[in-house]
Amino acid sequence: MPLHEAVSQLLSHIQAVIQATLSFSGALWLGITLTAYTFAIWLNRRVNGNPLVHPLVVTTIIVIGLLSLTGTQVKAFQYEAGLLHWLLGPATVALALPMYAQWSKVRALGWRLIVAIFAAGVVAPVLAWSCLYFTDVSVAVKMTMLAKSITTPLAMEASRLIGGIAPLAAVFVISTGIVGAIAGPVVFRLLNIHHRQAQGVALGAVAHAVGTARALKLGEEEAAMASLGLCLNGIMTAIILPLLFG
Amino acid sequence: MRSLLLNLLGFLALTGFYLVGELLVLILSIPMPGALVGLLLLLVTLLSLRRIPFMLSQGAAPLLNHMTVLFVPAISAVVLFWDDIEQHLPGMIAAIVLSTIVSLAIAGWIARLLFLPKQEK
Repeated sequence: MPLHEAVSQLLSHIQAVIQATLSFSGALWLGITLTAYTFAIWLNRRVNGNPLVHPLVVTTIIVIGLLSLTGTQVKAFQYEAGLLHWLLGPATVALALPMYAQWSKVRALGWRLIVAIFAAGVVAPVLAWSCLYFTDVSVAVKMTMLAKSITTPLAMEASRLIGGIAPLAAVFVISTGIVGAIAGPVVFRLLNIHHRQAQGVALGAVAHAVGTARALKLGEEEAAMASLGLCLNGIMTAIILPLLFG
Repeated sequence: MRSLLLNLLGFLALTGFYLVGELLVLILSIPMPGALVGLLLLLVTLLSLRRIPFMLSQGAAPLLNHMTVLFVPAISAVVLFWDDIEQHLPGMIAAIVLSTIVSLAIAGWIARLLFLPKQEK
């Protein structure tokens, strides 16, 4: 695509987002979403950060409930609250900061870290795909499942590029994170994996941000390794998937 | 007031990296998410700067801390696919639960195997 066309495409998208945000209904739905989110955070703190009461789950349920109560189309809501979705772009870029902050660990562990995270990044999607192989779900759903272990913004983009369903990717990713955060400590205990860095890498690489939040409760060393696992696996998977299936 | 300004500048810098990433993807038709290209560009920039500029960490903090709420518009579209999901619910739940638990076990085991000799040296 020529430069001027690309620029005008990006600018018209930004213009649409600003227009929606400044309209009355846009501001209203943004306010509703943020209020629901504030409540969801409060609720999550009340239950001591239980991954089952993840703020995203609570916020989404409240918003979907209000959409159906007011008879608003989901597509209309997505347009009105488009600012939030657009901000995912800069937010994804911001992941470079925690990645850089852990860079000394990347250098110290070197190929061992890359291999460990790569293994986690390959095993999870292959297993998920195999589980679905025997069912009659559509190919799009199977493709979407491949991106389930990486952080939501990258998963949505990567699954879109390989013919998956972006919103479904978000659902799979969050479910994976919740299962991983709950099961992780149990699995490590059963298998006698007490190594703190290994626990962290596994949680971050398999259960992304929700797993990283769980790792933070295990300790700082675990959390640091988890954020590395999250970033590196996200980057590797988002690069490799479109190359293989794009 | 000053910190708000730094917040804004940091946010604009992140947005700049994001837009450059999107532009590169569109112009060169790279099969990668534009935001990922922006992330890699920023990482390379930080590695050559050898530090994180204060305004960047100021601008990034709210985005990183509250990224959760940014997913709400995207994930709310799940109601559009509800029929498809409902029909295949057991398979999907099995796929997610089984693969996540087994992957955690394998990933943790491999990571321990790889990291232990390094630390004993």
